[in-house]
Amino acid sequence: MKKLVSLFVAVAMMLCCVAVASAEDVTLNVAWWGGQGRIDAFESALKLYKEQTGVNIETQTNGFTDHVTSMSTAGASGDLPEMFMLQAAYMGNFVEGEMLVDLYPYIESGALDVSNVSENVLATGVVDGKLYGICAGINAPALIYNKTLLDSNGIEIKDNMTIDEFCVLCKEIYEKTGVKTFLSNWTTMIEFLARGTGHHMYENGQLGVDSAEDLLPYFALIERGYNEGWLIDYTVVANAGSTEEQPLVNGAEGEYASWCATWYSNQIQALQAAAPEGEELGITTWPSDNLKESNYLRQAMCWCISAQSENIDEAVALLNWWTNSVEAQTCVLGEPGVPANTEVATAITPLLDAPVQKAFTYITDVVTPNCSPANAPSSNGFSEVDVLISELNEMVYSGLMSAQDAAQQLFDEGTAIMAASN
Amino acid sequence: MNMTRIQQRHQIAGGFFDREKTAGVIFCLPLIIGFSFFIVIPMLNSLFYSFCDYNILKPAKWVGLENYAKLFQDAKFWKSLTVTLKYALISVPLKLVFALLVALLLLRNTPLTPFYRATYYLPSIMGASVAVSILWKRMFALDGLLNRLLGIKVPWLGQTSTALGVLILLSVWQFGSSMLIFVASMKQIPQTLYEAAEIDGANKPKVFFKITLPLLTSTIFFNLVMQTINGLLVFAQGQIITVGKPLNSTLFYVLYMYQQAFDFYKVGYSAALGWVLIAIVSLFTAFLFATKRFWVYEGGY
Repeated sequence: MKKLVSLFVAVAMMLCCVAVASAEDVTLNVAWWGGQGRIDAFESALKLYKEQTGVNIETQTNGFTDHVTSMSTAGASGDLPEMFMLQAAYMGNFVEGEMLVDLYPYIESGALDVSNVSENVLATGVVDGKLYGICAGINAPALIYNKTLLDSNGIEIKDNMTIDEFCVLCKEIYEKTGVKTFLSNWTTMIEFLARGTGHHMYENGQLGVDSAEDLLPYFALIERGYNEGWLIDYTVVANAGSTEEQPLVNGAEGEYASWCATWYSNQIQALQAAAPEGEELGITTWPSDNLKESNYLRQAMCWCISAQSENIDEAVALLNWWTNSVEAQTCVLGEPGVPANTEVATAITPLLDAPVQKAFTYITDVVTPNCSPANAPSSNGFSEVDVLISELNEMVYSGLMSAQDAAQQLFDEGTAIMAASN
Repeated sequence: MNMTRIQQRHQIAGGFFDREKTAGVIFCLPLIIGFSFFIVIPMLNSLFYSFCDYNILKPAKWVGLENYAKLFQDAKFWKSLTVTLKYALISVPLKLVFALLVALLLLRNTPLTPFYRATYYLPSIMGASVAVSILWKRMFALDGLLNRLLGIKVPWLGQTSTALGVLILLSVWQFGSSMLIFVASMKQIPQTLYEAAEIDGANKPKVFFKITLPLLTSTIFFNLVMQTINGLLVFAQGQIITVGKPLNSTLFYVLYMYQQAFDFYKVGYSAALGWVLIAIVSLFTAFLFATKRFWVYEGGY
């Protein structure tokens, strides 16, 4: 009997050891893109998770342009991190390669709680009826502007401008202050304005517009700016890539400066941080003649779980914690946008910095009541069309091509590219 | 009988386990392994992919010569090739002339010469690095050092007329390695030749053109071949400083290749571009070698 008991105890102890060892042995790799602010915020949250659960976490960060490249090469060699960030637009190839875990079964089993995430937000991670990502932050297109400059010249900005109102405003600002207008993010802006004509681009393997006319609003806006003189000279901004190089915040003056940047709501924080002292930024909508159709809430990015991982359950547990824990989001403080979980978002709002507060208010008060669902994840070929758009944009920006010709060429070649890629 | 068997065995085994040969093989292994795993196998891989429709994330599909056929009708292929040739043909001669001039200056033996040599070589050590490219981008920015010094506002990197020039200048600035090779080979030219010339009353330019330059031709040839190859493969500067802008005026060939592979996921097409580039580089090198006998002196001193 004694022997039996001691044997039982020994076995029990061994099992315990194994259990402890396996809990300690789990290492989750987490990868994202972003600047130093995001790295600090995310790492402090992940450190907290490690303290609470004992799960080891390794992190990997990239700049935005390298991130997708780095993830796709990792995917090709079977090395994807357990949990990594993607933008819905880039999901297609990973889905086709069967590299992402469908999260619906985990929601059914209760491992992943999305009861406080709205349907619209959840839908941004759905491809072909499967859920491949959980939104890590909600943002929306936002016109971020130099409030200090406009206030001191008695110019007032109102939300929900039409294209014509916007052009009149740009002209007024140029005449009063000498400061010009820089419209960046052309690829998104074309989509944004095409939505206003009732078309969603890049869905179902197609360019998604009926004629060149649907692509014209953006190019026409640029052409008008060029002709009326308020558009910033293209040569000034040809190489403006990073936040600090944006003519809104780089300290340039007169015709070399821009009073606005056509970016996203969550980026106001980084832009404000880069702005010269005493320059306060404001936030409003991008112009559109049909703003309700044009504007949308989108996932700034979402977390995906790698199907190549051996620790999928543990990765889902981390994702669940990230999404639903106030503690986690208190570390992140809205850096990547408004948290998907509405209760968590409400809980952290009082803790936010002033610029992030502005972005949150913009999302809840300005965009949410006046927008429509975001585009579905883009089909293959869109990145090639993006490069085409950049090239045409350069031509129109420099006055070398008419808006009509650019729209026509984009329609013809874009249609061909999408057809060849799908 | 026994002895011979042992000897036979020894002979057979000796093919593999002979001490000297073993040492040789082991010393070569790092290179053999590195060369095959990181160069030969990837190259063969890319040759295979150049005949495939392949997007990294899905298995490759054999399409035969389709990628190569498409390539010659691709306007951007021609555009990027033109830009790259322009870059190489201007930057390489400029760089060599500059390297040669500085090498002449640094040939003098003063106590500070080693310091100057090291200083001028520094930019080359940093090579095509990211840091130098970012530095260059900032220097030529609208609010950059150059514009501030000159008190003007010229968008050097933003206008088609100057953007490529800025990149060429960067390449010329990195003349250090060619310069060092020039210095080393000038030092080998026997002093007696110069003494004889001095006695005959030759002036400095004459000495340079009649003695130094002819005896340097084989070094010039070496530098020319190396730099031309490097010039045709230019990538990092373009990727970091201008990303091909403005209006594709700095869209280098390798940059376009990278774009096809990593932005568009057209790895097969990109591999085909790579193999065409190999052919172009080989052609250039072969051409240079063909001209060798007309201008390169390879006799002794």
